[in-house]
Order: sequence, then C-alpha cells, then structure tokens
Amino acid sequence: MNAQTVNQIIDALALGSVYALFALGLSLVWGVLDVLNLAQGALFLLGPFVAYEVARALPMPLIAVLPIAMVVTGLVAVVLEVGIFRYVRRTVDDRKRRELTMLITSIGAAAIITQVVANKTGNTIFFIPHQVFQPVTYAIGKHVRVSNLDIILLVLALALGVALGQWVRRSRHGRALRAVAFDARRSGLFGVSADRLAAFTLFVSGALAAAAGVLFSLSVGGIDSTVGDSYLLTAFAVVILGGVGSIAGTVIGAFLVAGAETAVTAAGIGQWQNAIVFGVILLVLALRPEGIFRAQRTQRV
Amino acid sequence: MKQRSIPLRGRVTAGALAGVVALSLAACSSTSSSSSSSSAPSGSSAATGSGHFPATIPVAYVGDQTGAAGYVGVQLLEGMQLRINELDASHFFGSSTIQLTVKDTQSNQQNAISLMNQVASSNALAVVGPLLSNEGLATEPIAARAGLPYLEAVNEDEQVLTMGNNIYRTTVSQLQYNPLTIPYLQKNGVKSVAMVYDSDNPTLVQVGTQQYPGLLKQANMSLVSSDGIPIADTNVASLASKIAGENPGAVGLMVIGPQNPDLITALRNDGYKGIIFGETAMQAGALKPAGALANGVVYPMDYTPSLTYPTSQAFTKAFEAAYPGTTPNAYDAEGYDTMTFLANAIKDAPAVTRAGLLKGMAAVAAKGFSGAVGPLKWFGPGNKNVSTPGVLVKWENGQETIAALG
Repeated sequence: MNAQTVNQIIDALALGSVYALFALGLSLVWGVLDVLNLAQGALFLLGPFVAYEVARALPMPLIAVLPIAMVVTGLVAVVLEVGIFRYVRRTVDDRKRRELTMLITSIGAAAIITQVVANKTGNTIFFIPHQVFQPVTYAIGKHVRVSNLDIILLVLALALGVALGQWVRRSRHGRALRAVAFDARRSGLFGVSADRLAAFTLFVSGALAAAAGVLFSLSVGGIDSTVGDSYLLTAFAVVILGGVGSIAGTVIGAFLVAGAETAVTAAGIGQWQNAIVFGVILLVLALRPEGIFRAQRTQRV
Repeated sequence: MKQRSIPLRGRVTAGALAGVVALSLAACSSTSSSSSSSSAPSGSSAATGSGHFPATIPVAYVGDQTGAAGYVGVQLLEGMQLRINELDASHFFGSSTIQLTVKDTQSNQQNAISLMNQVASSNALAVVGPLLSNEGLATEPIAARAGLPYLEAVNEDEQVLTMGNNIYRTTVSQLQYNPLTIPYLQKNGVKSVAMVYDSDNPTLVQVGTQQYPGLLKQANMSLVSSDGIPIADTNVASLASKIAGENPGAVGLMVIGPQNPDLITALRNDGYKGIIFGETAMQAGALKPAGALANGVVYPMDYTPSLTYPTSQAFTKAFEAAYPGTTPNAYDAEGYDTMTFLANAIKDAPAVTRAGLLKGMAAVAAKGFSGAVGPLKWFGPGNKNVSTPGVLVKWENGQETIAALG
C-alpha cells in the first residue's frame, strides 16, 4: 500500500467520523421519535457558529468552546422539541400526517436558523478563531500525514458511537427510550415520561450535530451558512444505508459513504461523487431495503 | 482597519444558488423595496434643473440587497452611493441631482422580474441590473422592450450582453485579467499545474477547463490534472491529498466560498509547497480562515486598495473617508465605476431621455475613462464589454499586496 493510499484512508476515516457524529443524532431522533428532523443540518451549522461567537467574545481553548457549543445547540434542539414537535405530536392524531407535519416544521426551523446565521455572518465565510485550536500535522515516514484533529475526530466518533449504543441498549433511560419508541402511550402508564425523554433525545442529537460541525469547521478552515444543508443529504444516506435507528449501522454507514466519496475523488472524478456514491447506495438499498443493519423497530398499528 | 470577508464573486457571477439557500429565501421572501436619494427632497424629475437636466434624474438599481448575493449588492451600492454623493457635491449636473431608487431582488429571479417590470414602467432613466446570471437573463429582455438603458454590474454572464442594444457592462470579467497569472508562474519556474474548478459554475468551468488550459499550453506548461468538484462540496481533504501526491509546480483553484481557504489549508497540511493561485473569489478576507497557510497565494483582480492609478488611489481615499474603518474592495470600486459610467453618459446624452441616454452610453463606451479600477476600455460587438489592465494580488499576513500590475 503506497503513501497516497494511506493518506486517502486517513482522510476517509476523518470524514467518516464527521458523518457518524452528524448522522447519529439524526438516526436516534428518527428511530425513537419518528421525527425526520430536517433541522439537523442547521444544528450542524449552529454549533460552529456558536463556537465562533463565543471564541470571539472570550478567547478560550477548544476544550471549553466545544462543550459550550454542544450545550447551546442541544438546548436549541430542545426548544424545537418543546415548541414544535411536542405540539405536533399532541395535536395531530394521524401518524402519517404527523410525520409529514413534523418534517415540514423542521424545514421551517432549519430555514430560520440558517437565515439567522447567514445574516449574522453577512452570508460570507466564517471560521472559529485560530487561537481556539491549531491543528498539527504529523509526518509518518516520508509521505504519510495525519493531524491531531483527524485523531480527535476518529476517537470522538467511535467513543460517542459506542457510548450511545451502550446507553440505548443497557441503561435505564435507554430502555425507557426504546419503550417510548415502541409505544409512547403505554410506556407512560409505567411511569416513563415520553416528553422528558424526547427532549433529552433532541438535546443529545443537537449536541452531536454541534460536535460534528465544530470539529469539521476546524479541520477544513472556514464554512458558510450553506454547510449544514450540504451535509444533510449525505447524513440521510448514511442513516438509511446503516438502518434507521441502528447506532452501529449509522457508524458503519458513515465510514462506508466517506470511503466511497474519498475513492471517487482520489480517482480524479470528483464531479461524479454524488452520482456514483448515491448510485451505489441505491443498489445496496435495492438488495436490502431496511439498510445494512436491520433496525429493531416494530411497526405500531 | 476592518476588512470585510468577500469570498463569493464566482458564486455571484454564475448565479449558482444552492437549493437550500433558495429555500431559505423563499421562507423569508418579501417584495420589499427601499428608496434612497442623493438629495432631499427628491422632487419630480419633470421639474426644471440645470441646463437640459431635470431637477432630479431618476435611476434605479434592481439589485440584490439580501439573499445569497445580498452582501455583494450592498457593497456595490456603497460604491454607487459614494459616487452619487461626489457628483452632487461637485455639482456635476449643476443644481440637478441623481435620485437612486433601490429595489431588492433578495437574490430571487421572480422578484427580479417583478421589480424590473415596475422600473420599466416607471420614469427611471436607466437601471443597474441584478447580480446573478439567472436574474440578468430574465430581466434584460424586460428592460430592452421598454427601451430602458441597462448597466450590467458584477454579473459576468456573456449571454446577457447579446440580448439587447440597451445594455453595457460596467464591471470587468475575470476572463480579461486572469492571464496576469501566467508570467508570474513562468517567473517562478513553474512547469506543471494542477487545476481545480467548481463543476457546477459555468464561469469557473470556462476558466478552469478552457481559459487556463489554453494559457498554460501557450506558456509550455503541462496540465497534470484537472478536477471538477461540486460547489457544495466542502470536504476537500481527499482531493488535496491527491494533488499533493502529484506535486505539481502550481495549483490553480477556480473555486468559490469556503472551498478556497479549505483547499489551501488541506494542501499545505499535506505538505504541498508549490505556488497556489486562484481567481476573484479569493479577494479581501476570503483567505483569512486559512491563516498563515494562505501566505503567498496569488490571484488576479480588477482592484485592490493599493492599486497605484491616481483614480484608484482617489477612490480608495474617498471610500475610507466616507466609510471610516472599512477597507474598500472590488465590489465597492465596481459600484463606483458603474455610477461614473452612468453619470458621464447622462452628461453626454443629447437629451435626458432613455433614447438619448443610449447615445450617451455609446459615446462614453467609445471614449472609455479611468475609474476606481484604473483605465476602462469598452470593446467587442457594439462596444458593450469592458476591460481593464487588472492586478495580480498576493495575500501576505492578512493583507493584499501587489504582485504584478497588468
């Protein structure tokens, strides 16, 4: 294996880590709450925007800026849940209509968040000040390079993926979450607060999106207000490929999509990236409509 | 000095709007318009002013003040307004003043059509058209049917220029000054070049796949690779790794928005040490996110604040005095020159009517003038296109410096 191939694999792992962090929250909310939250892209944008504003106001290192961005973005996601999704859940009885209404309202929420960031940044590029974090590139041998940010991204994505999976599978809250996903009304009879769990799920989803956005922004240099929406489609592809609601499937799907995109670019046909990658996903889904990992999801009737 | 970040000229020139931006625009859409005048009260254009000029000379700017291209339109307007204030102060039209009505398209083609229809049926003597190519293509025919003189600013679409006899370009296309890069590459011993371009932006596709390959061939430089990427693709790490592995003497980035600082960052982090050159989307603060990694990057422009033409220096000083704490950029300069062209044409017109102004515009285009960007000469069929020598800018420690004059 030559150095170029190793560098491309490192790039794919870093990109896959961003996709995984971004898509995990999407998958969780979709799988548990039946909310196809199209505002997830806007939350991916909001995270670095909050980091940018916080770091400009008060110079701080990444270890302080990242949690602040995650908490603020998570709280904005909770506001979406409490102010919009919960209201829709309570007022629209028909399941299909409810899902569609949530989809549309999440588009509205995304548009508002995106426009606020666009206006605040003057529709131009913004970047988290360099004093927050300076990526350092290490040379391995003569031509292989890996940055500290690549390592942070990979470790964080895998650690949060495993932690989230364990939390959903083994913790009391995780079991309650699955109970809510199965039947929110009946789980309430057993003392499970569906509202509180939904809010917490949105918080986790927003915080993950913010983490993905902040680390991505630091790794590439600068972003603008369209970045979240650019990645939203890919995140959906990741979730569907991995299997909606499947944590492991989402992480694996993220690395598969990132690997495919990197391979297409490395082959010098980058303009075909979306066509080829989504074409392959189409083929996979034709063979396995439930995704690579069939999510343990029961249809309520 | 505060320097604003101006990254997206290429995006504006091709009118390539992301669907999501369009969605955001739709969500926030309104047909609001604002009006500004260089004098108050504006009065009626029919009232008597100096000589054959009415008391106020009504002109319109149907341009992007909000939306994806809003930040460009706002700066273009700053330049226009500065020039109008100067004209009024110097009594360029005697006691008559220019009344500029601003109508915001919100970077939306439908709004642009509706607003251009309003202006076409108004008493406006001339219109500065919208900035996006899709807006320009839709609005020029409306102005042409009304015999309304149309100034094409920022928008680089060549097709719009061919749509009527009422149109003149007042800002220079990058195709005119991009060749300035080649002598710089030769001087630095570059033998091979890798090109990256946005594959969904017609102007940048033209620059990346036709103009530069032709120029490189003439200069006996080899093109080692040519990669098109979507505008929305901000993950450029794998592309940078590929190009760094090819190790060309120079890399040309014909991309817009965050892709510029992102590609520069990724290339330098991958150990690439050759020359990086770009195009107008790198202007002003667009490279700031790359920090010191962007030092030494060069890009051709029509204007930079340290441009040495007397008219350029006069503009820079006037702008800094009018907008304290702000450094002018190319859009400000282009707005200024657009209004100079219009004012000269009004003065040269045999009558202050739309038909008379078209004759005045032809006269100004035949003579040319020196503006904020330096000498401007009109050329091509009907003298509708414009050129200027340009300047090759080098980015060093957060500032633009002059690498070569055209």
